[in-house]
Amino acid sequence: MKVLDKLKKILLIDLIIGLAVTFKYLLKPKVTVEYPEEKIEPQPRFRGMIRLFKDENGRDLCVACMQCVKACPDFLISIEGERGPDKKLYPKTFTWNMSRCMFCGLCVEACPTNAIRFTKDYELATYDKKKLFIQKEDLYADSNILEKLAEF
Amino acid sequence: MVEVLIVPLIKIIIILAFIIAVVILYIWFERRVWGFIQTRLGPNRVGPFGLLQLIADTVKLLIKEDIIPYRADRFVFNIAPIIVIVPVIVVFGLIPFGEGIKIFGIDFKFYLANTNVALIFVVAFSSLAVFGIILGGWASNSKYPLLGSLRSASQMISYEVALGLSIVPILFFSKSLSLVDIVNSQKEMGVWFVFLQPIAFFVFFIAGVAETNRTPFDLPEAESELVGGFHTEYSGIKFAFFFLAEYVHIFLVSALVTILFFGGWLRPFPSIKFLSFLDLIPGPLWFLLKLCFFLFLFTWIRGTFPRYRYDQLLELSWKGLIPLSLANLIVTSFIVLLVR
Amino acid sequence: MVQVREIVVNMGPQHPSTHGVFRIKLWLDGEVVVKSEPIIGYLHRGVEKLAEHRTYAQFTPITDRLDYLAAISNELGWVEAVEKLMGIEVPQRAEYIRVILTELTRIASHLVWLGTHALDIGVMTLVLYCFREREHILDIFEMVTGGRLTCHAFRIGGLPQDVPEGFVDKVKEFVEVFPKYLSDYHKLLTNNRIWLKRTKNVGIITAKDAIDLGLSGPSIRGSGVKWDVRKSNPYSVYSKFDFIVPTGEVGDVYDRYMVRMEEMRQSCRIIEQAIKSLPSGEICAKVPKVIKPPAGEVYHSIEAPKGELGYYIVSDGSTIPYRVRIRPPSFVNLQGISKMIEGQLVADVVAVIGSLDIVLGEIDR
Repeated sequence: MKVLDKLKKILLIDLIIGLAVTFKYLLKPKVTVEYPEEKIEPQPRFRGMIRLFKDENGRDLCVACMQCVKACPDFLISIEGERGPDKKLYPKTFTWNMSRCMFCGLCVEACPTNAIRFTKDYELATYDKKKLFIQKEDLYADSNILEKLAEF
Repeated sequence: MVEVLIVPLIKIIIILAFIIAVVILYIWFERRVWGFIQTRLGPNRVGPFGLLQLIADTVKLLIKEDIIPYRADRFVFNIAPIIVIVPVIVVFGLIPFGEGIKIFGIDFKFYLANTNVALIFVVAFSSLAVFGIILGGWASNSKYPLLGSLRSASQMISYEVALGLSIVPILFFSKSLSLVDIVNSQKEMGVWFVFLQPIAFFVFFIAGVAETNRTPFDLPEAESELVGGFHTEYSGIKFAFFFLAEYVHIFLVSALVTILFFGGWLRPFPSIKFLSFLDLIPGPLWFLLKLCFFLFLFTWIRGTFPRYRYDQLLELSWKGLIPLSLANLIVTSFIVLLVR
Repeated sequence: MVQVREIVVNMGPQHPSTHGVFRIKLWLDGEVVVKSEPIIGYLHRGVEKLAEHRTYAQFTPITDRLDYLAAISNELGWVEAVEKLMGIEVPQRAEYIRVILTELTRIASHLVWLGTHALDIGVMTLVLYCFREREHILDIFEMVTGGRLTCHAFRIGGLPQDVPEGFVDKVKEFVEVFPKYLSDYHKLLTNNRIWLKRTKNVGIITAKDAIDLGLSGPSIRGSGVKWDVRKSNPYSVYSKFDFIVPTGEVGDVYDRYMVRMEEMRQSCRIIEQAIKSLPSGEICAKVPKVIKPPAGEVYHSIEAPKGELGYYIVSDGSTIPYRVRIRPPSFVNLQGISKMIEGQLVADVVAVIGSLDIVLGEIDR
C-alpha cells in the first residue's frame, strides 16, 4: 500500500482527478438562464407583489376590518374605512408602503375575506422612492402599476 | 536593401499584430472556458459570442481616472508598467513560428532573427520584467504593494533558476542554443524532446506557470495583505499594461514549451513515413494548435486548483524543482555519455 | 541601529475574504501574527430592541434575518422557545416537516460555507457548483413557503399550510442526487495536495481551549469534543432518527472541513428517514388568536448549522415580550479566532476565518 501511495503522489493522481472533474463539467449543459430573454416562472405560492381583489359583482372584498394593519410587523398598511350605501364597510384609502415591506405574508394570512393576496410580480424596481407608497387604485389586479414603477 | 529593411519591418508589424490578436482571443477564450467549467456561459453579449468583450473592458480602463498616490515617485510609477511589458514583447522577435516560404523570390522566414544564443537571450531578457514589478511596488509609497512586490519578485527569481536548469538537458541533443536549430534537431532525431525528457518538461512547465504569477502560484496578487499586491495602486491604462503583460508572458511561456519540447512546427511523429499525409497541414498551423492546447492547460489549471501559501511556494522551488532538475541533468549526461 | 517593529495591518470591513463586514486588526512581526483584535458592529440592526415592540408572531419573520444563509433554523429556535413557554404541543406531521426543512437549511448553509471557503483559498469553480445545488434546495423552499431566502416557514404552533403535492417527490429526488455532487466535491478537494498543505495543521485549537471559550457546532467538533445539541438535549423529533455526529481529531482547518462535509451527508440521511415515515395529520396546534404567554422566562437552544443558537425570552404576560436575548453561535465562535491565528502566517488568517463559518448578521444582530 505504501508503494502505491508513493506512486500516486509522484504521478500527481490527486491533481489529475481534480482536473477530470472540472473537465467533466466543461462538457455538461450549462445552467444559465439568459435574463431578460428567458425568465424562470415562479412557483404557485411565490410571494410577489400584493394586490387587492374584488368579487364577481365588482365589489371590494376588503371590509376595512384592520386585521392586516394590526398584523404587519412594520406597520406598513394604513386604511381609512367608510360605510358605503349598503351599510357595509369598504376602504376609502388603502396605502401600502412597499419600500420597507419584507413580503412576510402576515397580512395575507390575517385577512378574513381573502381580499389581499400575493401575485407573481417580482420586477418591482423603480427610480423614484415616492412611487413606492402605493395607493388603493394601483393595487387592484388590473392596474398598470408595474409600468408606472419602471418608467424613468 | 529590400531584404535588410522592408522585410524585417513587415515582420515586426505582423508579430505585433499577432501578439495583440492572440492576447485578445486568449482572454476571451479563458473567460469562456472558466464559465463553461463553472457550468455557466461566459461573456456572450458584447459582439458575436462575446468576442468584443475585451475591447469593451479596455475602453473602460482607458477612460478611467489616472490616480497617482500621494508622494509616490512619479517617474518610476509611470515607467514601471512599461518595464514590465516591453522585454516580453521584444523577445518575440526570436520565436520561430515556422520554417519559411519563398515569396517573389525573397526568402521570407517565419521568424525575425536567428542568433545562436537565442535560448539564453530569451530566458534572460524576459526575466527583466521582474524589475518592473519591484519598481511598481516600491513607487506606490504604500506598505502593502511594497511587500506584495517583494514577494512576487522573490518568487519569480526562485523559479527562474529552475526554469534555466531544466532546459540544459535539451542542449545535449540539439547541440545549439538557437531555437530554430532545436526544432530542426527534433526533426532529425525524429522524436519530440518531451518523450526523451519528460521530467524536464514537467519542471519547465511548472516553473513557467510560477513565473507568470498564475494559480496555483498567484498568492502575491490574490489575497496577500489585502487586495492586489504590486498593482494595488494602479488604475486605468497602467493597470491594463500589467494585466496584458501577464497574458503576453503566458503566451511566451506556451510558445517556448511548444518549441523546446513539442517540436515547434513539426507534425506528430516526424520520423514515421506512414503519417506523412499530416504534412498537408502547414507548419505554423501545427504550432498554433499546440499553442492553443497549452493555453487551454493554463486556463484549466487555474480553474481547478487552490493556491499555495507563500512559503510553501518557495519551498516547492528550492527543495523540489531545483534538485529534481539537477538530478535529471546528471542522469541525462550519464546516459548520453554511455550511448555515444 | 536596526530596530525591529511590529506593523499593524487592518483587514478592514471591506475585504473580499472576510465574510461580511468583519474587521480584524493584526499585529505582525514580519509575516507571523503576534496579536489580533476582531472588531465587530458594522451590521448592528437592533434586532433585540425590535423584539420589545413586536408581538411574538410578528417577530418570527425578523428572526429569519439573523443568519440569513440558514434562515429556517433561526425560526425553529424561536417558535420552539415560545411553544416551550406556552406549553403548546405541536402535531407530529408538523414536527416532521419542520425537521425536513431544517435539515435542508443545514445543507444549504454548509454549501455556502464550502463555496466561499474554497474561493478564499483559490478554487474558483466550487462556488458555482455549490450555488447550483443550493438552487435545488431553494426551489423546494419556494414550493412550500413562497420565499427563497428568508422563508418565514413556521408559525407558533406548527406550519401555516400543508405542503403542496409535489413536495415529497422533489425532496426524494434531491436526496438521491445530492450524494453524487458531494463525492465530486471530495474528488476536487479532499486529497488534493495543495488543499492539504493549506489546511492541515493550520488554525489549531485544542479541545480544552475550545470548551473553555464556549465554542459550539463544527468548530468544537473538529477538536474532538462530541457536543451536539440534537443528541445531548434532543428537541423536536430528532430522537427518532438515526444519525451519527462526526468529530475530528486535531482541531485544524482540515478537520472542521471534514466535519462539515460529513454533516451534509448525515443531514441527507435524516431527511431520507423523515420522508419515509412522514405521518399524516394536522398541521398546526390549536393556538389562541392572540398569543399571550404566561409571565416567566425560558431558554431554548437548537443546533443551528453554525453552532448552538439560543433564545432567552422574558415574558411579562402581555402580547409583547419583555426581553429577548439571542445567543448567536458565530459570536461565541469568534472568540476563538485570536487563539487560532496566533503564530500563524497572514495568509492563514483567511483560511481560519473561512473555516469558522461566521455570518455577520448573527454576530451583530
